[in-house]
Amino acid sequence: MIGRMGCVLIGVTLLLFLIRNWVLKTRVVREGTTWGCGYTAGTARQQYTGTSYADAVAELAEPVLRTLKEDQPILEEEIFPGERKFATHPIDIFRLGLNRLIDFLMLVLKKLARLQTGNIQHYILYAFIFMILIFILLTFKIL
Amino acid sequence: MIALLLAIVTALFFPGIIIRVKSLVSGRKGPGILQPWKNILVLLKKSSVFSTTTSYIFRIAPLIYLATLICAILLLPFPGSTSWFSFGADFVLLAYLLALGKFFFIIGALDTGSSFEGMGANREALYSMLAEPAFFILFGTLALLTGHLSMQSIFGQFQFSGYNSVISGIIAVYVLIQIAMIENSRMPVDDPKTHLELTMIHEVMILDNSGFDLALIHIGTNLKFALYGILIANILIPVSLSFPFKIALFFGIQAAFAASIGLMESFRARKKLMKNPQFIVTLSSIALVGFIISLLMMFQLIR
Amino acid sequence: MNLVLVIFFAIILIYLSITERFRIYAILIGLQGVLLFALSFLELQTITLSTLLFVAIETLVFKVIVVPYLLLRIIRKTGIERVHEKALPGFYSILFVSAGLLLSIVVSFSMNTTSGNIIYFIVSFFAVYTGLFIIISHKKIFAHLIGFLVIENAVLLLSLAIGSQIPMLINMGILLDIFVSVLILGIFVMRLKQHTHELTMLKDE
Repeated sequence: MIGRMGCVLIGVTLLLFLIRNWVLKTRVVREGTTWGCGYTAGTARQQYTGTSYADAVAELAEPVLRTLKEDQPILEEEIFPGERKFATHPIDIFRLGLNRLIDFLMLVLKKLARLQTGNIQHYILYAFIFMILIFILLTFKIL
Repeated sequence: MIALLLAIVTALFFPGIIIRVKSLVSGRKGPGILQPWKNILVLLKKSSVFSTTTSYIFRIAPLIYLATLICAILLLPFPGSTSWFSFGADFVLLAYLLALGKFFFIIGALDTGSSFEGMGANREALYSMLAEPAFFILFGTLALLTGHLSMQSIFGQFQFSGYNSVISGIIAVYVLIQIAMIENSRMPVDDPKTHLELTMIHEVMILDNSGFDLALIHIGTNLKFALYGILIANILIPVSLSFPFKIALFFGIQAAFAASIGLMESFRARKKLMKNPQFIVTLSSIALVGFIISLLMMFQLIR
Repeated sequence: MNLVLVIFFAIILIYLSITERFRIYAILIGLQGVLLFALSFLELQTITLSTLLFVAIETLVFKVIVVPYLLLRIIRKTGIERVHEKALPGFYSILFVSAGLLLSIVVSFSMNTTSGNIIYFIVSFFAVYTGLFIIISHKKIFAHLIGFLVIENAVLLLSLAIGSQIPMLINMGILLDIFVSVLILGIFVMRLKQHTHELTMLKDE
């Protein structure tokens, strides 16, 4: 059934295409510039990019996406604004969360790193303390 | 097949009735009922101007838009008569045929390189995305209530007997009317009278089309109204009437629908564009409330 | 017929969570009172007539007349008839409220209730969730009051569902009504600062 509908769709499209070609054969088809709506000095710097297209949905999902915007706001007393830059950076919130977790872990681990002195006698002392601890725990039947 | 004929007849009168009602309400006499189609005939005789920025996509977009609409209307049933293409869960195909047409419409608008058309395409995509859950929840409700999957069986089985189907029917008609308003870019989502490009949705996407293409797009818009009108009439018309009564009731419902659109547009203002997503998602919530009823009936928890 | 009224109650709750004007709050709470009044006649068939009349008239007097009148009087006195600012934009409110509806459906289906009553459980849980959500997501104290009134309506709705077996429950719901309208609303009418646009502080601060 869906295949049948697909065939009908392609058929109707071709039919309309042929009708249009036949109609336009006897008429003048011109080319011009895009309708500017009074906005005729458009350059490539003012184009409508993919980011602009996705802007509406991105605004709705802003708590999840958290795009970083770098811009300088126009102050109220600035009547003729000066030159400005604008940049948006999409960030990865999972990576941000992972960075925060790892920073926390590093803080904890740095405190533990004081045990690492480089002196071999200290390391032998640690092994000695461990053996005495195990001996005490076994004697009092805790372990 | 009969749905296509009815759709063509409805599409002939629908925009004319809306404009006429709006004119009469504001104290003027207004144009004739067939005036929009006379405009289309004038457009069909004109020659086309294509922009140098556009490519082949811009040339095929109106064709595919109209073709998908015609195929979508071929899918629709009419109560009591069979449709050639109906099968189980064909409302999904309906939704996605309309989406295909809309997709080509949007990329045709983006192809011109004009920012205004890009903005209109942006909004059109957003509102259609937000209105889709409401459409599917609605059809899920109707399918659960009647126990069938194809649109023909659903509408053949659905009748207003007992309080449950009355509530479901009222919620279904309300949600369908609002979806029709959203998809056709009428009030309260967009004002068709506005000529400010920054605020239009449909009107701005067709700024660069001219002549024959523009005529095809206008025909498509009118057919879309007829499509939603047929869906609403399917819910409201009972199957047990005789055929002439059904046809008469059908045209009565279409005229009432068009008149109510005209009245609603005359007395309401357009919502702020930022508040539109909230409005459309509210429709999904209301459809969800109607879905509870069919869910309870499926579990046989209410009569 | 009960189903129609209960579904209408749920739709009013959805509208209540997204509206922005305080007058609409007062009107919607009054409308919910009317629905509860009609429901009390339709549901409570098996208790004595005098109790039924007491319940119905109390609902009518307090929920439909007194509470909206006091709310409108507070609005007029403090001059906050305009749109208020929320802590949460409307789009996210409606998403959370729909999630609450789904949650209440799941919770109600996992309970072991008798068949006729489950719609009341669903809408009552939904109303409690919506009332709490209104309290959480607004900054002004008037909205907190509205949230509390919604929770109280939810309690009364649930007590109507099972009140045929336990009439004492309805009496407790009504006592809650009287407590709210006399004590809290009375305090609000008397003690709020006049014509303040903040509406977050009582008068004695």
